[in-house]
Amino acid sequence: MATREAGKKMIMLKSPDGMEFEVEEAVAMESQTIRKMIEDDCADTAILIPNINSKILSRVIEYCNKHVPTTGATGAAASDTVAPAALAEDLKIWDAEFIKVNRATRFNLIQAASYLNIKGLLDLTSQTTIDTISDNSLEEIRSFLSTKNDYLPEEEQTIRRENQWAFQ
Amino acid sequence: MATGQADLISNLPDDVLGTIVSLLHTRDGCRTQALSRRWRPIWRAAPLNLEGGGSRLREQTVSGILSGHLGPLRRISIFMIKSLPRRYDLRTGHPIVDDTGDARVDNWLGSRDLAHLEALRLSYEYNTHNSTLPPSVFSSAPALRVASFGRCRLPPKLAVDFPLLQQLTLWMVTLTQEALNAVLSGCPALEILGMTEIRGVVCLRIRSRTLRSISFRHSSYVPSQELVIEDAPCLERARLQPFGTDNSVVTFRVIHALKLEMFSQV
Repeated sequence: MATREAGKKMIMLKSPDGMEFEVEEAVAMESQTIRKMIEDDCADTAILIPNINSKILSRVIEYCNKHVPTTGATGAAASDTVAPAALAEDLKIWDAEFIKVNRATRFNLIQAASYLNIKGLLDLTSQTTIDTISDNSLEEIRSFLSTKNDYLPEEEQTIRRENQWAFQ
Repeated sequence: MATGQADLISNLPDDVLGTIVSLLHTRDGCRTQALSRRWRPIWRAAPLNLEGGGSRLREQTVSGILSGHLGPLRRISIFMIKSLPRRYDLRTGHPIVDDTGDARVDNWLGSRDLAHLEALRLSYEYNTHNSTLPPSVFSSAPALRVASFGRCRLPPKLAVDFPLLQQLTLWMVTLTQEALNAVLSGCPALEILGMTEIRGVVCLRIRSRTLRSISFRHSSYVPSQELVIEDAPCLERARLQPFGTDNSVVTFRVIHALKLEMFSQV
């Protein structure tokens, strides 16, 4: 149920475990998925976000709140007082703190960022995985990701042979 | 539930795994195919980030990757492309200039959809009469932002369609003024142009409505070279770099560049 508060349009987001979050429309629209719903006029009542529990959804909203552009009608005051470079530096420090979460939470955040299509959050949450895959052996990568090698030995040999250049 | 940690990443949808894979170096991305069955199809379908040439990836491997990849091309960098043997006209003894373009490069990019290409860098081992880039390299790349071409020749009849290209570097490139005009008019969003040791033209003339910054280092192969800014209303910075200690002369002439303030000779 969209309500109005102090001239800002509010949107209600619902998690599958029954929690409701009222957020500014501009914040919710950091998600390209929600933006599309709003633009297509599918967001009159509360938006149910499937597969994202309240704990993860609240973190996602926290991220969007911090990253919503402060220019324009909604928050002109904030960007008037702080230099852009300082603002970017502040965001970097904030992001680094934000991503100090356990593994399960991080993968849940990756999935949420992907479903809700929030590019900045996806880049932030994927970085650890990218660092892990880069320059480690397959055994080390599997161990870190807890990925079970379900290839038959000859199948894995075939892949290695077909892409010999990558395994030398 | 098995003991140990759950395989959380394999539960992510294909496109998320693809996004992660496309941020990796070519070799690391390819290797993910061998992690498990879940990962097998991801790399081939993900946007391709290819860095090859020289000791990095052999040309045969580059051909194999490009012909087998199903996903869009995102970033292509191929350095140190092997120069083809020089050919000479037996009657005159002059080298035969190849105007059609290198078939290998055409093979890599010519038949590909470049709709999602964001960065393109190509350079040869040596600039010879055979190191001509094929015209297909310059065909429509509507998402291209950064391009760099080195130790090569531009084909004489050139049509360029890089509508969003912002940054272009040409180094040790042999070209004609017509080719340079085609490049500048085919890059209507170009802001940064770097030219180092351009050959084939004694006087280079620049016309661009969007160019903000230009850097230029003359060629030691040309005893004197001239750079003329004929019309560049947005040009703010020009940087001229002398080459070595030889006695070459570089002339810089500005005809129309309203905003040009910084002019440095470093």
